[in-house]
Amino acid sequence: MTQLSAANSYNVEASLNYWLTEQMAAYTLPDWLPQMPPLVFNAGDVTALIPCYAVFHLSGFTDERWQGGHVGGGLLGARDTSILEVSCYVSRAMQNWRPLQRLMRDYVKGITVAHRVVVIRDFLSDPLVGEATAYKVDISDVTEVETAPDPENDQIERARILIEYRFTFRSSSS
Amino acid sequence: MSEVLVKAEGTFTLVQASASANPGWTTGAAAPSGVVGFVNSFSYTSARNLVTMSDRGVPKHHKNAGANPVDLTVNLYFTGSGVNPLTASGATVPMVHGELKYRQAQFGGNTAQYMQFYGLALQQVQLTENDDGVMIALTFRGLGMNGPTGSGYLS
Repeated sequence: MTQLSAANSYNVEASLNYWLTEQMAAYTLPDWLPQMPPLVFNAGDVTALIPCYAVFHLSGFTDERWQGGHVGGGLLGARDTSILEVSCYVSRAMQNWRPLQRLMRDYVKGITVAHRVVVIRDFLSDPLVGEATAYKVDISDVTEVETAPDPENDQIERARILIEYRFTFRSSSS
Repeated sequence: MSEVLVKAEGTFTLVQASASANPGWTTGAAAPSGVVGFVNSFSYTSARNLVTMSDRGVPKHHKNAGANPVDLTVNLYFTGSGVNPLTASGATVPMVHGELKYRQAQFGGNTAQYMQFYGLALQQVQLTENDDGVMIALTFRGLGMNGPTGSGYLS
């Protein structure tokens, strides 16, 4: 019978959301920015919420790298590589849209530079804050990719940042 | 419950050595120290000479014929600031101690794995120009080492 350990994609994605939320709230903002634009998770249309950060998790792949898949503690595992997508949305109708978007982009990048490791929290056993586990996510390359103009509203400007991350997906089998 | 360590968790720090005792982490009061930055790669070799004794042609047991000095190489992007070991009184060659720390955030607090290198003398400096950054390779020879261990001398 297979059982998931705390190091699974559900917990990892929730832990990264928790991490982003916590770190964004901790920034000291310049005087011209009264509050941090909100993080919006898994929303299809964010037009009404602009300016905001739209967060999506893009599934990656797992591959075997170890003899027998043994990862210690009696568990079996594989290395998982996935992508966290954070898009910084602003509107050209806003007075300071260009500096605002640049700053939003820097806030995202700043977090990834300052924290190269994120502790995995177990949201399956504690749905609110997640209990910290002894597992981690390694933050890897951060890439900003070009996006096509919004077909329905050319006032919308999007800065799309892809954050690659890796962790050891673990489960047990008896 | 183990996790693979990655370079991003590492920090290499040097501190001025005050004597050549081995094994030992001997420094003066408030000895100058500093983190080595822009490290691109780090490697070391700690080895001992083993002699395998045979009995009637069949390997029977090993003898430890002595430890080799620890050879350590650090490749880093050159910033122009000095990287020379500081003069250590009482030592024939200026030496530093080095500590490699891998932080383990998943265990909370300041938990880390440390490796300490005693009595490092700078053996070779090699500079290579690249378009994206001048590289400098430092080769040290140490008297001994300790680790990995859960306790460190430096932060």
